[in-house]
Amino acid sequence: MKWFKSIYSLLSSLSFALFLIAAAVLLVIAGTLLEARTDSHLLAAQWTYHHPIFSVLLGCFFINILCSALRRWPFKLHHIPFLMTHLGLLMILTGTIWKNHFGIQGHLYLLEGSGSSRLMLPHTLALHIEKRGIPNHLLYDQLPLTLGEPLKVQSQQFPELTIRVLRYTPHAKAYFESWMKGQYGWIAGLPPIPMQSWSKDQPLSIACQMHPYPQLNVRWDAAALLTDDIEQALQTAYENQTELIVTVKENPLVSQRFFLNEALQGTVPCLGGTLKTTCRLPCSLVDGLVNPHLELEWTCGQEREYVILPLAGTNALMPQLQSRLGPSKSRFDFDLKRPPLIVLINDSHQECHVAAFDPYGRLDIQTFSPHQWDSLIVYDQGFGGYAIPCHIPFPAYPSSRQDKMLAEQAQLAKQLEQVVDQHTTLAPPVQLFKETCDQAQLPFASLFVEFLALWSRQPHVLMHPSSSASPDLQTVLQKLAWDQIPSVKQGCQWINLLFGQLEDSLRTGSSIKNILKTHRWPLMTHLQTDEEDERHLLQQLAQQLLGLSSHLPPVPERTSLSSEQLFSAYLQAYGLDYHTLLPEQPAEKESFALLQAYHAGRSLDPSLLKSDAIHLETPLSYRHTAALPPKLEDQRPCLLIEVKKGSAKEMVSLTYDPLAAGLKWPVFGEYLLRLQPQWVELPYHVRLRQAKQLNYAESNQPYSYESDVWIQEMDQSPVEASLSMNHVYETWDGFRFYLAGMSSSREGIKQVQLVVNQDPVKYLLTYPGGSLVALGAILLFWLRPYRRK
Amino acid sequence: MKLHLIISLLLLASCQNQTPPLARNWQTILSRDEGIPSQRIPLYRAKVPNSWQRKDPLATESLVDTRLPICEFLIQGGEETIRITVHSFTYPDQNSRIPPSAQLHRWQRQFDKLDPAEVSISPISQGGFYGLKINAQGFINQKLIALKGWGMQLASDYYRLLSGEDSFINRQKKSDYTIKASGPAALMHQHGRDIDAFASSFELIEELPSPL
Repeated sequence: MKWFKSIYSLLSSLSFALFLIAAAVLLVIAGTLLEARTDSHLLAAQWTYHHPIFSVLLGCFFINILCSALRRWPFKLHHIPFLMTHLGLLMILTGTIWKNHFGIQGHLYLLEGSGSSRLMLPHTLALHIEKRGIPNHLLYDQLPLTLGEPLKVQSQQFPELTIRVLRYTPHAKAYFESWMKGQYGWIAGLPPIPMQSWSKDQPLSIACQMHPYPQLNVRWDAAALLTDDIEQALQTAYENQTELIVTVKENPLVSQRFFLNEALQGTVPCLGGTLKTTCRLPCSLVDGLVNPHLELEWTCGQEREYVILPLAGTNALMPQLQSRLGPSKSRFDFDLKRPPLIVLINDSHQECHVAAFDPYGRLDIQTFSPHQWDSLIVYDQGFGGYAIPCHIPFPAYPSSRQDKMLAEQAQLAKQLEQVVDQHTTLAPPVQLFKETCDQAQLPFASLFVEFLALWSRQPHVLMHPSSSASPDLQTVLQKLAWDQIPSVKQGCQWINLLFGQLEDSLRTGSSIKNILKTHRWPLMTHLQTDEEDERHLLQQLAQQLLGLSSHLPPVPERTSLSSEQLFSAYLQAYGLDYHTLLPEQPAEKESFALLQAYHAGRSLDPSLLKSDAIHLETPLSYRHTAALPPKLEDQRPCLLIEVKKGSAKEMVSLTYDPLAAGLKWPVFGEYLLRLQPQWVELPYHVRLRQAKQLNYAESNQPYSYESDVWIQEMDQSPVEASLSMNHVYETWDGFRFYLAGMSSSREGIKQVQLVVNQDPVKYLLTYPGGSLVALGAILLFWLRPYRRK
Repeated sequence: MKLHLIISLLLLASCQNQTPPLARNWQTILSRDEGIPSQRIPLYRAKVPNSWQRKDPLATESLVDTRLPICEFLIQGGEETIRITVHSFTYPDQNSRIPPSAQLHRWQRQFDKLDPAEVSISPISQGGFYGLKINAQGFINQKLIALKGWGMQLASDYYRLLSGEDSFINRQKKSDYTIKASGPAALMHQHGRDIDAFASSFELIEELPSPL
């Protein structure tokens, strides 16, 4: 009994209380220092607040307060304030201990438009298993895991599965493998392509051939390279076996062919002059291939043509003459021809590039990161695995430069027919042409487009007689009734005379402005001379002359101009030519819609028409590598797991997914696994309607974040609520919802993180306890010692 | 002290009362059909001010033609009217979808005269849809007209999840939608907040399956 009294006396003593307070202070200091040193709140909490010592400390506080209160027995009236404070403290301590063990605190992750009642418990570990049930809904189970213990767990929901943890790594990095896995390139449906370690000046070796279009016997070469010099690898792959064909526009039978790698060596003789070729395939890690093109410089004496041949984009394969006369006024056609090729290129950062070269010289490259993907194929909701797609926009049907031009012309003719059908008022030159066609009973639209196309291909500002013109076109041109519009004819004649002189000067590099100034053109002030595009100046000049045609003198008698020249001058005055009438094409990507429509009209093989792009896939897999553990909060443990079902066995390694938002990995084609936090089901379902960032007026600086939600208790009607930084929603049973974070997906859909907690005894113990402590303290100071006796 | 209290109370009492918000209630909006008018199902809901007049298409009229709105509201202001139309657009696959920018561009071309300085376009996301919102003011038939428009598309993750099961309701849920409000500029300015609130409350009735 004596010893009991001694212990009781100790437990209720002030010294014990001071000792406990000192111990608590030291623990808190240790936690603070640990957190400051390691920058890890979780580690500090593990060694302080969440450590069993802290629970023991709380228990000792409880005992000390209880014993010191009971020492006052038997209780008298003046003990009331003292007992109130002590009772309040006991209630607070009990509430704290109760909340630690039975309270809930977790995170709810919501995407705009969807909802959840699944609360993720942070810093916990569980193996989440899904199986497809009947009818087509998912069955779930989660197996909480505690690392460090021998782990063989049995799923209650899926008793047929036995799971063993074979290996644990505290922290691992996950890399996704797409087109290159190990030493091979992988394209679904093909055998593995051996990877070639490549460096500059090494030749490219073709690994295999493939049929990229289903059901078509069209062969492409394939290769796989390992190199960091992507640009050089692309250049070598492109130059290899590509032929450059240069043809004289006015005489297509006259042409010359070069292998590109030979043409790139230096200047080569070409069609009476010399040709210098440069290949530019600029490739950046951020933007990919940027404006790939060939630069072709043909020189003959004083004459010089500088042509850019784009290899991708809207103007792919269409030579762009860098001339004031217009982009298509080169005297040559430039075409490319090569065996089609797909190259997989892996670099040392595990980034994979898929480059494709089509038979006409086009180039496409796409980059795939090991950390994320732009597009993913999910087979059978994930049970069949995942794949990365690559869409190469090269069609199987003919798509050469010439095909593109014919498709454009067909489209233009179709549009003209529609315009005519709608009885739209036509510009006078077009009306003249149409009336002539109608009288000759010849098709207006196709002949007009033929004229425009022939004119655009001539290296002259105005059209010259062309032997390529069809007999029908020649007939129409001869029948144009110039005699009925003599002033127009005169104007057109003067346009031809003027432009003939201007063209010669333009070819030597002079500008129209300077020429007109030198010759004191009388109407300079009426010209908009600040424009760079001199074609517009030419149009203005033509307009001026046509407008003044009735006041102009007759042209010199020796002047002999063909109907083509006159008609092109007439069109020039109205700003009408092939390029101004062409339908608008998308700014960046090449569109094959016109080509497809053109070939469909020619009754091309339907299977060719359907193959408008190459669709490749590669299975998505991943690789985990152990890494030095960062601070505790950022660690991503990795487990190697063996899953057994009957006699079948599969091994899978999984890294921790703290948001439980990543991919689930299939086993046996029947189950999906993910290593993620444990979760509990809330009695509330929360649906996120909209999350928004509110900015200060006229600024992008945020002043608040808000999310509008529906919160529904089971079997009740949903309630609208708005959560923001300082606005918490609390349910009747103590569940509190806080808006903790907001982020945006690539498409701009917002994802929010809500923190949900529930203190089950907050209103029963903690708050009443606090009130008692406050009231008791007030009474203590009110009654004693300040009251005079 | 008492004087301070009295003065404070007087100042509070003299504060102009804020205009109370319009009374609104949740209304459902039916989907399109695929040729049979009776196919239409309640698909969307929105909070609509009680003072707005609602115009629904005839129950016997098929709404396959996407030029027909699935629902219309009118706000009367004397002899002037604001017209709010809701359209939805179903596509056979994700790649066929017309981007929201194209819708906005089409609306801008409806103006005879539109100063670019009077056009404001901003990205927006809500309810699983993302897109663009436009505020514009210009002249149509020599009248100053204001426009508020929303062009919205379902997010790819949701599109993928709903594509798993090919059903009428899933096809309708995957539809893009647009909300367009246009009317005389002064009247639009007066009801601008209500129109914004209506569009902000617009959502699918059924929750989307979570991709998380």
